Amino acid sequence: MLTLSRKSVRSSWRAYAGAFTALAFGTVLIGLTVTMIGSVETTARRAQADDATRAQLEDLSAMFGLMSAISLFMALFVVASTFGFVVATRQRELGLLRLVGATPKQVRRLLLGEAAVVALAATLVGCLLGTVLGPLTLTAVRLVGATSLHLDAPPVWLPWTVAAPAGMVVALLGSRRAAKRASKVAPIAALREAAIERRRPGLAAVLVGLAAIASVVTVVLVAGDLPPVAAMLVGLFLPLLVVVALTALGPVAVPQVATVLARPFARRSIAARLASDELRTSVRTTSAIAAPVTAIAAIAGSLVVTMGFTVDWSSALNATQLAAPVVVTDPSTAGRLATDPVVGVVDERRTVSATFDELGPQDVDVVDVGRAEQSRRLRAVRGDLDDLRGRTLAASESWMFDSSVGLGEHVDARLDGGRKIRLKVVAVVPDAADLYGDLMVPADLAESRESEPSVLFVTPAPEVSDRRLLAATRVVAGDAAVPADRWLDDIASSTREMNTVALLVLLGPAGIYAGIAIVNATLIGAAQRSRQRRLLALLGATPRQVRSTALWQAGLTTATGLVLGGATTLLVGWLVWTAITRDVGDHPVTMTVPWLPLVATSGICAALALLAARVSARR
Amino acid sequence: MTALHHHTTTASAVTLAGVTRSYRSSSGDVPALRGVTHEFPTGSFTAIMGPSGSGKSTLLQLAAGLDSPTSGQVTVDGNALAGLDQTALTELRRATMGFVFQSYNLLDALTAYDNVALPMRLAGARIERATVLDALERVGLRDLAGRRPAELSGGQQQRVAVARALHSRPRVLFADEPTGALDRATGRAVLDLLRGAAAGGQTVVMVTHDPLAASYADEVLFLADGLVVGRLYDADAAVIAATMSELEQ
Repeated sequence: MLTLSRKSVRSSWRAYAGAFTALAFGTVLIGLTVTMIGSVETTARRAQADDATRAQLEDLSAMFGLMSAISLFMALFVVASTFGFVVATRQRELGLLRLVGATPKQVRRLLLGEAAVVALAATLVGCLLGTVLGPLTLTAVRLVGATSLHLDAPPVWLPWTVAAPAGMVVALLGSRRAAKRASKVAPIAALREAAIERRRPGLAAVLVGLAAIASVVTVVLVAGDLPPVAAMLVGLFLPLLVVVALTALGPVAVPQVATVLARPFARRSIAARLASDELRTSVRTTSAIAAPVTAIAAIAGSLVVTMGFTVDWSSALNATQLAAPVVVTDPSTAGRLATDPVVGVVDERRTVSATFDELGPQDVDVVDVGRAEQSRRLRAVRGDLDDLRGRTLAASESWMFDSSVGLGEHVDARLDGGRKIRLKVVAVVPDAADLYGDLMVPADLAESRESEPSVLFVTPAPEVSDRRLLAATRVVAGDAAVPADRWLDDIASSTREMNTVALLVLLGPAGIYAGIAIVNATLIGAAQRSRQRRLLALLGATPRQVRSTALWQAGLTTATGLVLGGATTLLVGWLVWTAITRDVGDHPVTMTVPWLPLVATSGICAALALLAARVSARR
Repeated sequence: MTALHHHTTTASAVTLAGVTRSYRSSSGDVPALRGVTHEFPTGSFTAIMGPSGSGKSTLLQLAAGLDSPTSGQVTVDGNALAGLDQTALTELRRATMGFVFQSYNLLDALTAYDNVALPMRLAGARIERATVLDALERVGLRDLAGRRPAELSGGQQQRVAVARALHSRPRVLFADEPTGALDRATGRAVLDLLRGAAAGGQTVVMVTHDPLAASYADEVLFLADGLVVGRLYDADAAVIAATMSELEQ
């Protein structure tokens, strides 16, 4: 059977070009991720790196991990849709094979064999490319500013050992459903000229689709009670669920939406009308083209919106918490400021590095509770800050949510490389990431340790106006003294810049994937329709009409994908926004919608589909 | 596989007993065959004719086990088809039936040689190169064994399909409009090959609308509205054509 598989792939390689590209690219990505994570490990070990550096490297690894997870998901999805397509276009051939004596099992093995042949070639090419691109990527990561460290590449064999099997597994998993469908092709299919594609999905697909929809609905129902951190996690995973549901039930839903979208145009243009009819009958092609668009629009849109709203949230929290009207970014002026009569309290933000047994290295704030209460409105939402004395710890709400540590429990830690001590969690404080960190210890505990002050929060003495305070601090600290709201704005905009870099790393590969999938599906779809196109021309359609029908088809399908992906983004945005506004309470939150990346994503999807349709319509 | 050898020594290769087939549609059941009983004797060449919609293709598909009857019994080479699962049906088909159609008979990815050898290969049997080439020789295509379907003419493709049927020597050979897409001379060559297969003891069942093609058969079965309405034995093309035009009125 493998010989036949090899011959099939060789003679119909065009249909497999998409799957091959997707897999090869996926293997490259996995290889690069392993290179990245491996190099973070190697670098961390080599450099006798300090805790902060190690934490930075670990963050980077986590980001690469997330990137490869998104990419793997997209790879699986592209392979599944390409193979589904291949099976749909080869009904007659598979029927003939059954007719001359192939059992369903043999047909299934043939398809899996074809997947293996494609995967083998793609994995090999992918691994070779990955090896070449590895060192370049490490340099690129430093150039875009994701890290300032020089990363050492891990041994060459390491990415191969992970990427090659991963590529094979993705190919076989992705083609499994298609192979099963192929084995169900009846011998009589060999006698049919052309069949209308089956719209009704199988039982398994219905169950998977319904389960995914049920999970989405459940999430929406409990959305009212979600804390913001949970809502953000949901924002990451909900789009994946929606994509799974759409893949399973796509042939039912996608053509319907496409028809509705086409309605206003179908009355005016014959090309739009033909395109809309065509979309309704060739359901598999339609949903195969729309699916990657939906996937990238939903995943990218949700991530962009969630990250944007997160900045709004932390800005609002910072603003709610910050009472000091002036912030001084030059901590060396603390002594002189404290003696100034217009200054009430100078509250230093200090951190000390700590290593936790279970949580690893993390910076911990050292707080003087009295001062922090005045300038940063530090308060306990649970527990009591008065207990923050000696071997104790206070933690933010989101840290408590992330870790499984409860109020009153103990954690073991070393402060600044000292002896191991046992700290009791005595209070939970609201989040305000830029005013204080997730964890804080009392000043008396860290007294003897070296702790670095970073900023000073300055409050005025009684009956001193904010303006006078600012003027006085300017005399001492110069431009380092800024009004509190400006300081918050600066932080927000620098966070947004960092987010843009992170989004590029996270979504870049997934975006390229979606591009491959869109072009692939459009080209295969067009090749499949070439006979109908010729018939259309024979019946008197001008070349222009034929071309514009193809463009309408691509445009309507992409628009459908974007509408579904946009709806998912809207849902996630609503979820996150509800959680944020409830968390912040009365304080106003300014919503920043990142229009540019959203519009750019949609625009690129549409442009790719139209371009591919145009190219294929010319042939 | 044991079931396949468990056939009785009957004189008929394919038997249809009271076979009906109706299709469900939104406007109620549409009958395609309304009770057909017929025996195709071993080593015979039967042509099935009738106006379009008369049920001739349905009859062929039921006889080959590609479709199941609404009621009635189909027996091929002594095996009742009812109750066989997909795998059992496939194995039976592989062991006893061959197919030649109007077009699209061959797998594009395989050479003529590999197409001929495919059924035996699927059955897991050892392929003897000489017998495959011999089958191609008999249809006059030995020299083109290495070509793929795209590099063969329609007639040549048809002859490769016949060679496939000759090579695995199935007891029954089903042909659906085998000359429909061919010019007269090539069509005749294919019909001669089918005639030869019947002479060699294989049973040939052919659906056609061409009286000349039907004249190669021992028996012509006429269908109309899902019923057998006439039979002719060893008739020439003119008589067959006259019967057809009568039916079509």
